[in-house]
Amino acid sequence: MEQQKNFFTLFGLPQQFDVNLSELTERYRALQKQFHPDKFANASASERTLSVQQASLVNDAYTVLKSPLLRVKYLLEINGVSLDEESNSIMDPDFLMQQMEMRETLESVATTSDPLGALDEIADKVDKQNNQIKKDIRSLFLEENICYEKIVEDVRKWQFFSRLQTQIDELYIRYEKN
Amino acid sequence: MALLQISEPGQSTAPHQHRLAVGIDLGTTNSLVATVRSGQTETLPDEHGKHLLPSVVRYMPDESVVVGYDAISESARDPLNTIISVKRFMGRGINDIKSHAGQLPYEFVTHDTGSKMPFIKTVAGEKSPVEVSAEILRQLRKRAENTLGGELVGAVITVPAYFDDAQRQSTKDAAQLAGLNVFRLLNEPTAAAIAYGLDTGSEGDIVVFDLGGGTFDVSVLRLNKGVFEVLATGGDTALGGDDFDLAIVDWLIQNVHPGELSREIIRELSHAARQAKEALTDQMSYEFDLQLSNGVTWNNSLSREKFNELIEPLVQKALRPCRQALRDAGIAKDEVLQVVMVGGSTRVPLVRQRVGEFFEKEPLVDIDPDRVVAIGAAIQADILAGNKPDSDMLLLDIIPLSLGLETMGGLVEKIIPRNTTIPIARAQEFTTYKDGQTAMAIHVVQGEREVVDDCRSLARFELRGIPPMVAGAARIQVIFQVDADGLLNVTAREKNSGVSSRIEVKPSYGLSDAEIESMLKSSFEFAEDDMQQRKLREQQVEADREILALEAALSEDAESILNAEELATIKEALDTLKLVRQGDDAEKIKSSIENVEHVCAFYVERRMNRNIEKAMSGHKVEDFEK
Repeated sequence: MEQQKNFFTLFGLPQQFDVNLSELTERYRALQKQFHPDKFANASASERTLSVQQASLVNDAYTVLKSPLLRVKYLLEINGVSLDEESNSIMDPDFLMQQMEMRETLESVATTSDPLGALDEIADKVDKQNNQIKKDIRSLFLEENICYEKIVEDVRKWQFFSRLQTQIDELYIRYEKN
Repeated sequence: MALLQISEPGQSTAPHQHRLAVGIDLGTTNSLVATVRSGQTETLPDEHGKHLLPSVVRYMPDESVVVGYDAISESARDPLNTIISVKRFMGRGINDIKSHAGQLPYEFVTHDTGSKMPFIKTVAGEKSPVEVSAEILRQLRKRAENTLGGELVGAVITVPAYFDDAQRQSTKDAAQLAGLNVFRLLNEPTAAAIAYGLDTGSEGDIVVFDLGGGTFDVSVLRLNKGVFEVLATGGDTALGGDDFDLAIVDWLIQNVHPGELSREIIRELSHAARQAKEALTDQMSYEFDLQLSNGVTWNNSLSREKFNELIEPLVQKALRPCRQALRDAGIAKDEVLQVVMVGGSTRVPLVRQRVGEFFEKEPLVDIDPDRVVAIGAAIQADILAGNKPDSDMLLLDIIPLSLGLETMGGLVEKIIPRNTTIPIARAQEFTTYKDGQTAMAIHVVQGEREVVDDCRSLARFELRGIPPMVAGAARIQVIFQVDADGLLNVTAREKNSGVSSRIEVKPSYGLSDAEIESMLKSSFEFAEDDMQQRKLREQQVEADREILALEAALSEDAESILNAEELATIKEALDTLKLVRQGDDAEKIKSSIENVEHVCAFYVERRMNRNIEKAMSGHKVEDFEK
């Protein structure tokens, strides 16, 4: 099996930042209808193993292509660009400041009289930032000479907002009433 | 090779023989078996016409076993040997059981040797929860075989979606002990969705709210053209209708003052509590007429209002996972098409009311909540048995809890996050932290918390024989593979040297393979002769399957993708297998099958690749670049 098969080619999709989600989902279902282990319940052991591997690969590819953040990280990876996640180096100071402020606001949500309202406000900000980053990245990829450093920097910011989003979601569950 | 199955729907050359397969709902309180017969899916009754089998097992002094209604009727008199709600103990350690299962009459023992699994002391010896569950499954298997008039080829057994790896593995082990071939472990809400979705043909996002006797599950599924995609799942493995009973018992204790709380008194109170709970589904008030065995009597009533008050905190507890599941699925309440109620405890009016308020729509209760899970499992079993080669149905399920590894400082590194669609494989690289380190301990855990001690420990193993290197030079790759049953397999490999270590993750509180084998042997149902016969039959079935599939595949595409030499090699292996198949040497058949698989490996891959291309044909990359 060509395990190295690129996720985009596996799904027959062009290798680019924008993905047609309904197309992606439709193909995902078509692929799983072929390879899911349930289709091999009466097959030999080796085929069952192969089908588990194949279906796993399809699931993994779908997870990555479905999420804009994972997708852009994957695009960097197959273009040989390292994200270097360990070194959290040189970030623009304004962003670092903003990071800190947003974290603090989030931590103080519990003490406000209207935690849900406060959460809505932060969630809205995060949304706006995410959309801006997405827009930036899209146009960066469209440039003739793609500047990967800029994309990497955007991805780092995006990851921060994505983690913040997870925290926000957790807090929503805590404060939401029926 | 069954690759044939995936080529063109409707062209299966398999003989049109109906293969007997069942779906089993192995419940905390009651269990059921269902099957598809002449196109109809139905649960199978016992000889007295009763469909439900109470999940109660009583061990007798002569080592015989009584299961179901006959066991329940004696439970008050023989509490120590009558095992109720054994599902709550599956895959659990002694401490989990003590803290989760409330006041239990049983005596648990653990042994230092072998597994850490707790055993229950009974008059017939020490019994593991797996063995107790196997008795229930065996009973259902016999019922099905008697009713259907033949041996079962396989079964789909349902488990709560929120079951962790240890609980799933225990369930599978129990089925093995009961002599069942498990096609698939299927999540209960998913099973319900199949029964429901195929029944109504609806498309969209649905929520399955499944409150059983001992467990609570909620799943969000997307239904689209026969594909059942689970988007998120959540729940509480220690919340169910039994807790409603307990709430009433507590209330009774406060009001009745029944004196010393012996096991017997608690059973009597529980029994009364259950009756009250059930009556309060239709009535506004229930009259107790208690006559306890210690002489205490009490006559008073419990209103539904008071009952609601007692269980309100428990019902609220179920709503939190609902919120979480919706968030995880990324959908809002108003996007939910329908809410399906499953499990006997959803009969409680307050549960229906609160669920209706929460989702802002009337929950669906039209399919019998007790039977819907078994029915869904039977539909899936029928398809997996190969009785419906044209079926378009596909289940895409997820793992309910994150899987991870212990890292420095007792922290957890998540490898596969919860709600990931299965099957899935993920790899993570680690390195040594000491110069010359030659071994590495690997501790696999499951759960959402950051700290190892707050997660469930699934297994520990060691990767040995790492060549000595400076700290940080080794590249140890740990691969997690979760199969379609949600069961985990872990492999570790040092990438520079290729030293590898593979384990089936046998949960810490599970049974070892050796233990299962000895249990199988000691079970009188599988006397030595039987075992041999059974092995032979299994291999013959496997051989037939292989021969049939390979011949079909060859007739389809041998000419187009194999050269003459390749074809000759395959045919030779195939002919050998056919010959050996006629004999009665199970081992020989087995090795011939393996030989065929080995010889055909390249062919299988070639077909698989061609199928990918077929699946994507008409979708050329260029088509999408505007």
